[in-house]
Amino acid sequence: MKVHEFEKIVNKLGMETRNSRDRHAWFVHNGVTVVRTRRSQGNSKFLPEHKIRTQLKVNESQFSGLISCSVSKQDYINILTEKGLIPKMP
Amino acid sequence: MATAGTTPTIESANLFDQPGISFTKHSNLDVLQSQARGHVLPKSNVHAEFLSVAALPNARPERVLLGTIADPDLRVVRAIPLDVSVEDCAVLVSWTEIDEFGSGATMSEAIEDFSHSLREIYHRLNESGVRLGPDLISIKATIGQYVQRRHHESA
Repeated sequence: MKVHEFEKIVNKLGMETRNSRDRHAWFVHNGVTVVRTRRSQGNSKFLPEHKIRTQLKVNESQFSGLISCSVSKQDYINILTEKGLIPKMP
Repeated sequence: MATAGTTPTIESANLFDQPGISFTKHSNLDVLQSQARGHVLPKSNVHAEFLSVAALPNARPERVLLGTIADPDLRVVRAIPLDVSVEDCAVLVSWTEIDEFGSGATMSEAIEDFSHSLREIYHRLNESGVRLGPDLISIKATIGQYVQRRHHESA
C-alpha cells in the first residue's frame, strides 16, 4: 500500500501517532487503546498491506473501505465491537 | 681451412620437388576426432539441469531467533521467533504471535526495523496509567514472556 493510503486511514480514524524511527499509530476509543499499527520511515518504503490490515483487525473488503470512503470511523468502531475488541456499551 | 658452405635457397612452391621431401595427404585433417563427419559423440558424464530461480536453494533462513533488541533498558529473556519472507523485493520478518513485523532491503535491516518497533510497542504498552483493550492486553502479556525490563545495578 502507499504511504498516503496509510495516512488516510490514520487521519480518518483519528489515531494517535508518534514518530520515532517508525511512524506508530494507536487507535484510542473512550480512553482505551484498542489497536495499533505502524509504517516504516526508514530507507524501506515498503508497506506490507496484509500485515497492516491484520494489525487493524479488519478483512480485505473492510480494509479497502477504510482506504476509500465506504468504511467510516463509526463503522470501524462497530467492527471492533463485534469482534469483542471494544466492550459493548450497556 | 674450412670453407663455409652456401645454404641452398628453396622456393616454397618447389619444396616438394626437392629430393628426399615428400608430402602425404591424410584423409582426415580434422583437428579433433569428434569433428569427423558421421562420428557419434560419446555421452557426456556431466549432468546439467535447468532450474527456475524460485526452485534454487535460498541461503536466507525461513525463520530466525532474535535474542536482543536495541534498548539498553530491555533484555530478551527468551528468543523471539521471526518468520522471514520476501515481498516486493523487501525482506519481511514477522512475529505472528503478536502480528508485528519489520521490513528492509536486507534481513539485517528488517530485523533492526522489527527491533525498534518492538521497543516502541513495549514502552507504550507499559506506560503508567495507560488503559488497554483486550487485544493489546494479550499482546503485552506475550511480549512480557520474551522481553523484560533490565534492572540496572548501581555501582
